Amino acid sequence: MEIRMAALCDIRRNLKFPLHGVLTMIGRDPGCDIVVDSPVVSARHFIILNRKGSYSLEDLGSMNGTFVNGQRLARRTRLFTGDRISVVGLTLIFQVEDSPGDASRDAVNASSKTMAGIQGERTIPLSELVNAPLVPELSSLEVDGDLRLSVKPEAKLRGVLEIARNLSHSLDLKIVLPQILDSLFAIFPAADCGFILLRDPQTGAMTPCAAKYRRPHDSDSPPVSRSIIQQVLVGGRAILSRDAGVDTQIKLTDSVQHFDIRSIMCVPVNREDGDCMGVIQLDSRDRVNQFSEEDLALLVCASLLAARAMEVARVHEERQELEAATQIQRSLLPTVRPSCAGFQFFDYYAPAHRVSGDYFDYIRLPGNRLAVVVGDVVGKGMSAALLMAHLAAATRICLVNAPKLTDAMRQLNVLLLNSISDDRFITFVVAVLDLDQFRLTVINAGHPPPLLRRGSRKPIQLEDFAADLAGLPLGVRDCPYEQVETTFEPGDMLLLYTDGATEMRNNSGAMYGSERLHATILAAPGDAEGMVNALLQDLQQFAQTRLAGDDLTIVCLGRTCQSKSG
Amino acid sequence: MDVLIERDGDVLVATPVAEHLDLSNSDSIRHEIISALGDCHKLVLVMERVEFVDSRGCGAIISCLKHVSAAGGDLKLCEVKPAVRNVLELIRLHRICEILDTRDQAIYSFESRA
Repeated sequence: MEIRMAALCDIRRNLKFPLHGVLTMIGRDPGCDIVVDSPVVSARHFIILNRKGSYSLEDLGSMNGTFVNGQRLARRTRLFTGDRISVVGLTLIFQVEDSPGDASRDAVNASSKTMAGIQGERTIPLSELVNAPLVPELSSLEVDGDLRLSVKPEAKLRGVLEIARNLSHSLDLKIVLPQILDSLFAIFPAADCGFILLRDPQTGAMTPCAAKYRRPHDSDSPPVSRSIIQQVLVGGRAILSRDAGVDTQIKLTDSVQHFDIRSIMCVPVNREDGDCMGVIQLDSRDRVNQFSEEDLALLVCASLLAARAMEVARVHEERQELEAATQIQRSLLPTVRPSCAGFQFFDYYAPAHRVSGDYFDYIRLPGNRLAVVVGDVVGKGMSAALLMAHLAAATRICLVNAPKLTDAMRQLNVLLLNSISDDRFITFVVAVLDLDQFRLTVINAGHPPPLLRRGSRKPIQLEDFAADLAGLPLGVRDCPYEQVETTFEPGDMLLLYTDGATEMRNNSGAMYGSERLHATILAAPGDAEGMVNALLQDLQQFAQTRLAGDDLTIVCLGRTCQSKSG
Repeated sequence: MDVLIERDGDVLVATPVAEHLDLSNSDSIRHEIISALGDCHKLVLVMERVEFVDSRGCGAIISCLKHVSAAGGDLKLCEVKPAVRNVLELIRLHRICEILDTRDQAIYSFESRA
């Protein structure tokens, strides 16, 4: 009986992998029959099935696809001897021999499972990803290697080192990006223009962030080819296209044809976690000194350095942004307390971090009314601060414009619903004080209920005001809000606070809680400042050495006892 | 994996495995549940293991609720510990999100309405 022996051959590395059994699994997973240790290869990338000596290949829905003779496979495909199987960065030739004798001659036998392992490397190096199936012309580049007149390897290495050195000096992207391009121009004398495009974190769009031209007049219309960039982004691979005018792999665009570009290198700039931050593209119109595969490998190397530097710069920029956010936030919070005869106001605001999700404000309303608002945006840091800024503006607009407080709250909620992300919400309480009628109107949106201390009564009473009628937090769903009204008598005080107070924990993990809060407020002095300070003192005493883990905001308003005439 | 996912008929039953639902895991819990939902829009959240919920945890629950409500479905909570219930009630979540005692009751509450 004829024994047909099939194998996959890696001609480049002179390796051979005999195909035993009915099914051979190829992928990154260590459990595969042939392990390709590369991050761009899927865990189970493709299988080869042997049905009585008839072999077929099936891609297992891999991310980057499997190509046979340059065609991406959509379904199971019969394999014939000599077929070229490509996955990213790797080409294998399928061979069937009638005699098993050949297999024993080969350098590698079946016991050597891991390709990359044989080479003593953990992964297939990035430079080899250059040999992507999408740009098959590259494999022939080595033939005319002698014709190339580029800088010497040492000079290139110096250039890369220079990039590394430059990048370590600056933290500003506006400086870093042009420096990268300067260094690349030094490394690649054939480059006529270069771009760095970065992904806009908000829109996801690729935005040109730096450009450099060998000749100044070139800059009128930058020949950025979207199709090439798209190909880099989708495939996540570096691309070298020589002689763009005839390269069928890259869809021709007007820009490429117009400028008669002879060769293009485009590499992704990846974050350490693999996320693509952007691309670096170099174009050359030098027909003689076209970019080579080697150049592309070098550019990939440079892009790794650039990525690191960009990340450092970006973190720095974010820090500056945080500084700016802190400034904005400070400017949004009231700097002076209202001064109204017969009333007193006091507040305390302490962000747990530099920026806070807590918010409070005093807003003058038509009809000699004053609104005191306290809110708590879910989350901390930057995003909470930005949402807080939005809340501050929206609150003012709604409260000032809607004559009825219930309408204002509903409007505010709808406004926020449209701009808030799904997992965010804001607890919010507004107390409107009618300074003529001494009426207090409160609406609570999922916030800890304000404490109303009736100094006007004997004995002094304390209640969680409007606790039963609190509605949903803002940003959850459109719903009506109920308001609670009462007369604000001389000696009465209202304390609004965020859960940073009641949920404060001490060293032993105990929570401050509303009972202790009630006791403290009941015993506190009868003026706004005194009451806030008494609470702060007790919180401090409770917390001992532990710093507050949450933002803390306390606002107190009171009607002074003497102003009976008002 | 932060959530145990099971199916009971057309109801997805999700059980967060950690004792806390907070900043540290709310995002992954939310993503795991929402990606498990697919076309399903009847969700039961079994809170039997959860001892502590913070505002981000509430955010995750609200996010799931918004997700299923948008498809005409609903979210029911069950086996909620008292401390957790207090937090949910403080932000009035119990008004829009039915809290049932047992998992079976929660699953049944979908059937009885259908």
